[in-house]
Amino acid sequence: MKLIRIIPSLLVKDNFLVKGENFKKHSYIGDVYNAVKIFSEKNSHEIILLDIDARRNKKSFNLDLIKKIKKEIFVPLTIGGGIENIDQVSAIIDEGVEKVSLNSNIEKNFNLVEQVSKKFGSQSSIASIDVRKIDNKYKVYFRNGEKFSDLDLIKYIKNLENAGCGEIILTSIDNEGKRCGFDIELYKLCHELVSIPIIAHGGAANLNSFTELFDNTKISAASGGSCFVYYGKRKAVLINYPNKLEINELMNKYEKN
Amino acid sequence: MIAIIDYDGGNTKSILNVLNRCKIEYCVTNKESEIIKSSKIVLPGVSNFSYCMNSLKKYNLDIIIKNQILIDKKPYLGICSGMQVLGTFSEEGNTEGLNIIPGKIKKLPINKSKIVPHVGWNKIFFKDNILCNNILNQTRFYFCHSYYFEVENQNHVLMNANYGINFCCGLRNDNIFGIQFHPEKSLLDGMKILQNFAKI
Repeated sequence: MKLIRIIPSLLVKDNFLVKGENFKKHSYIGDVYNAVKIFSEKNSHEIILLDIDARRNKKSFNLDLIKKIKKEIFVPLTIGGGIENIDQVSAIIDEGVEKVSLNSNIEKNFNLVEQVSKKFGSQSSIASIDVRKIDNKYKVYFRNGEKFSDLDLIKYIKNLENAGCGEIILTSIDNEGKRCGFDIELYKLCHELVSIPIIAHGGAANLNSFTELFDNTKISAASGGSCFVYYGKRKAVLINYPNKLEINELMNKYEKN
Repeated sequence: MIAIIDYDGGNTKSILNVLNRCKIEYCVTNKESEIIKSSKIVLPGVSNFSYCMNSLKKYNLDIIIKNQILIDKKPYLGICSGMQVLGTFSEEGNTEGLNIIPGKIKKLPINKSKIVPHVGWNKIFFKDNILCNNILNQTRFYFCHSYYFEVENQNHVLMNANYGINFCCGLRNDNIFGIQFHPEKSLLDGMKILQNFAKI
């Protein structure tokens, strides 16, 4: 039995929605607020919003934008980007945000994961890990894929669970934005390491990518970007999410298995 | 006026956004005078049972709430750990609860195929009750928890869900209600639950 989750993961830059490939070449998609509102209206399971410029600009996520968004969406929201201390986490959670995602700043301050878990509970403490496959090995990268780290992926994941992290968003940089399907091998490597959920990310092309992942791994949650903001081969911008019937059918199927 | 109990760390904003949307009147408070003036009480959940109990005790809210719901019979809705604190005892931090509805709070079993916490949109199975008016049986709601309420008296069970095991996700004793899932994060059906409670 699997309780599946299919989650739009949206990138924010200068308060606008963008999307790229392999963490590069970001192009403008549209207004964050409207997009997020549409996903909530389409009964999306959850929404992940990551500000890809926040850390570089030495800021955390725009709180006014969060305030505006939280009035309109009634599904769980994860916020990430540039978060480096517990005060920033508190400010975000105070706006009613359910989960906060930490990434690059864990590198120099691993303690932050534990601080967030202790203060707000594991369910609010999410870690994002970005990996690239090099010489057949998965390597962890920080800072939007720019900084190589010699952390051992498996140890890193286990350490995060031990620190009270409630979920891990594991992204394949190689597949991100390519709409080539998830890196099944990566998730097979990691799916039995921990008992907390791992959210697969990177490469989703359509609903089949998700079922391929769910069928072949123990992963039960996955997120997509391009497949929910683009339509067709020419990548026309269209905010979309599988309809309720389709999703329900899938959920029922995996519940029974 | 519904009193939303405010205790340190309790994330109340999501629920306030929903109440605003539904035009339900509320105040957010931990003061006895305001709670006494209210007509109903909602205790939103944070994750950790012992943290929740300790915060309630710190503001004397355990006694205030008991007086209000057991003696004055005000309708009470506990969400997530707000439901769990109604129990006798929790394995989470080995802490005693308010002991209003007999039962133990236990950790969801982890076996090879299971992931804990139980996160996601799961079906609820309910017997007809006032909270579920206008809601179809087996509707999905958003859950996020690692512990569940093992209720002693089956008459108190209103709703069940299944995640490896069948467990109680909604209970009632007279004017006192508790739900394990999060109506404030469960779209329109979640709003209906809160509206139904507001109408009691």
